[in-house]
Amino acid sequence: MPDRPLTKTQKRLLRLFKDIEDEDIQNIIIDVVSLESSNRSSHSFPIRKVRDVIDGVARKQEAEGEMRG
Amino acid sequence: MLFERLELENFASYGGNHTIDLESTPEKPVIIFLGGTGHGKTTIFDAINWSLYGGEYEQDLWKRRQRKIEDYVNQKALREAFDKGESVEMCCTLYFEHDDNHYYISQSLCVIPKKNSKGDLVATQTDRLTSLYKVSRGGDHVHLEYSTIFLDEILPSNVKDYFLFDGDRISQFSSPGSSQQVRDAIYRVVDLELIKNGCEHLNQVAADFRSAAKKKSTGELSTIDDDYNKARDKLTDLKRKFNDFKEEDHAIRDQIDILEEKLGGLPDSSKLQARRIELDKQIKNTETQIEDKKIDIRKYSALSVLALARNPMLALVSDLDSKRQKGQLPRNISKSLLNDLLTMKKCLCGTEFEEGDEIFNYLNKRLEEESKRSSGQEFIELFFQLRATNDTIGGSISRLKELFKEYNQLSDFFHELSIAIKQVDGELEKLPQEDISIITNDLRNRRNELITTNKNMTLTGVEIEKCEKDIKEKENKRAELGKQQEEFIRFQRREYLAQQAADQLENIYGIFAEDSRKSIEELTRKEFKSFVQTASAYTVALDENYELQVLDPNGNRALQRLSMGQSQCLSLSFITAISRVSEKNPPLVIDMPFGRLDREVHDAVSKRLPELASQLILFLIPEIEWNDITAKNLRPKSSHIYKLKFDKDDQLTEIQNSA
Repeated sequence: MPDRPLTKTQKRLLRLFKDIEDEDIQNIIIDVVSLESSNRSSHSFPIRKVRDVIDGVARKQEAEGEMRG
Repeated sequence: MLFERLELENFASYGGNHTIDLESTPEKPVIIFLGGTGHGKTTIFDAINWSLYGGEYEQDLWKRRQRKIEDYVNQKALREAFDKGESVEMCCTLYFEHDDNHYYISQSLCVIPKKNSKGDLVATQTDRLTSLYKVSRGGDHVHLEYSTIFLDEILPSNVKDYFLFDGDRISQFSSPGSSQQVRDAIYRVVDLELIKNGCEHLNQVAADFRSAAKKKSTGELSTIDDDYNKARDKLTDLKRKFNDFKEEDHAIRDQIDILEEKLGGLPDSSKLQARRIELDKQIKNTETQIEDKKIDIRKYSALSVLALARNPMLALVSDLDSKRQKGQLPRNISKSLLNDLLTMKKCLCGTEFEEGDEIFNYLNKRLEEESKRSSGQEFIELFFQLRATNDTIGGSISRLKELFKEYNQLSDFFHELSIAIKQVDGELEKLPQEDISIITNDLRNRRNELITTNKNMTLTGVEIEKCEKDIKEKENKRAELGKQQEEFIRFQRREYLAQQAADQLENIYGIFAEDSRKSIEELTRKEFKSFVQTASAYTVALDENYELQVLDPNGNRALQRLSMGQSQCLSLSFITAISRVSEKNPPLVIDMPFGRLDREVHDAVSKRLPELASQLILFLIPEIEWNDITAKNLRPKSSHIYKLKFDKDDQLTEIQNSA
């Protein structure tokens, strides 16, 4: 499916997401909503993928923490 | 998305193969199917839906119309196959364009005809196939794996109901008590559903991490973690409770709307009751007047009976009068006058006297003489009494006549009142009094429930705030203690991220839902005014409970005062609004859009409809919906106009291009 231009509703949503100060939380939300969108009709939602999103951000934070010592 | 072509094979009344060109242009976005009831309009609607949604639409068909997809196999084809011992293929293919790409999606079913125990031919499914192809620019047909994800990008199944409208469903948004449907439509079409589900899933993941962190906690941290988890669970429960109350609140409001509509639809008995009371008062008053008249009549009748003796009495009066005139009767000197003069001791000339005076003795002497002539005096008195009695009898007779007249008038009035009261009683008997009292009681109960629910919501809201504060405190303490325990900290970090994301997304949901509601409200208001100019005094409101309302100039709810047509216009306005706000812009398919509309709004609606969507497919009934007005407005905007001709003998529909 080719990328379609965002609708006004999607732009408004994106603006609301961008208003979130914590960038990590912002990314989690964008990823989760995107997951919801691509699985809206499936009968069993892949909750594991949400866990993976959280895990990914947490690992990044942990790595950053280690680098800072 | 734009539909390009629909191919049907042995689908319901469309026996054999049919190809329907659905291509349209932005200038002529309308495609019209004209056909009477049972001519195959809804079949085309079903074919479009089945092509796109396959098995999911089959479930819909069963739920809505208790029809299996096998029931759609053309009967003639089934009979012929049975005779030849062959199978039948039924197929629907929809060609469409989306984002400059061309696709076609096909559902096909292979059945074998069999006779059931009653001897009727039935189709038994042996094979079925769903195929989706993309037509590349070079003309190659690339097979794509069919999945609902594909349609999710274009027109998700749970959203399709707000673009593909069959029959009566269109007016459901404006009927009282339909806030659930309105909420669902906004929820799905404007993607609120995605955000809500995102919140739920993030909360679920946060709970999983919390539980994992708890397992890793030891010592004081374990105790704090226990408290923290309990507080979190409590918060989840409170939030669930709050939402339940909210749902309950919506449900009660819907029930109140439905009950108010029911009550409004029942004939108003209060006016009849008031008339009944007034008539009752009048009838009692008239009864009293009649009784009074009866007493008077009795009294005057007794006097009037003397009329029997009136003639001899008049003869006697005449005789006495002639004697008096001839002086045969003594002059009329009153004995009582002499008595009075003697008592007062004053003469008629004014001279006062004493007992034994000359005047006293004279008057005394006259009195003695008068007494001696008493018989003469009696005659005079008799004369006057007879005359008076005669007058009384005459008066009584004429009064009696008047009384009878008045009595008759009162009796007639009493009779009229009795008839009127019987009529009112009859009308009152026809009214469903019990229903009214049951509904009124129900309404009272629902309103009381609403008060309780609101109170519960407020109390739960306060508890939520308290709980959130408590969690924050525990969270800080837990983080402080957790610094020492590495494994714990790992899960705690994840739980924190998931929980923060869930909470932030929930805030966004609130803001976004309110924004969408306001935008849809504004657009619905605008569209409604353009559809129904006669209702310009009304304002459309989509309140916080997602109830589509119409308010009169005084701000009173006036939805129930709208005609059926105006109500359908309100639904159409809402559909237009959600379509615009969502910007999904798929084809709008409407079965019988003018079915309930008043002729006066045909013009406004048929002018506006072609502007609502990129492509508009309408199924219309000739004469009723396809008339001089709608034809004038829609014909210039139509790319295709098809007439559906149904052959009753063959049970087959023929498609004629009428453009």
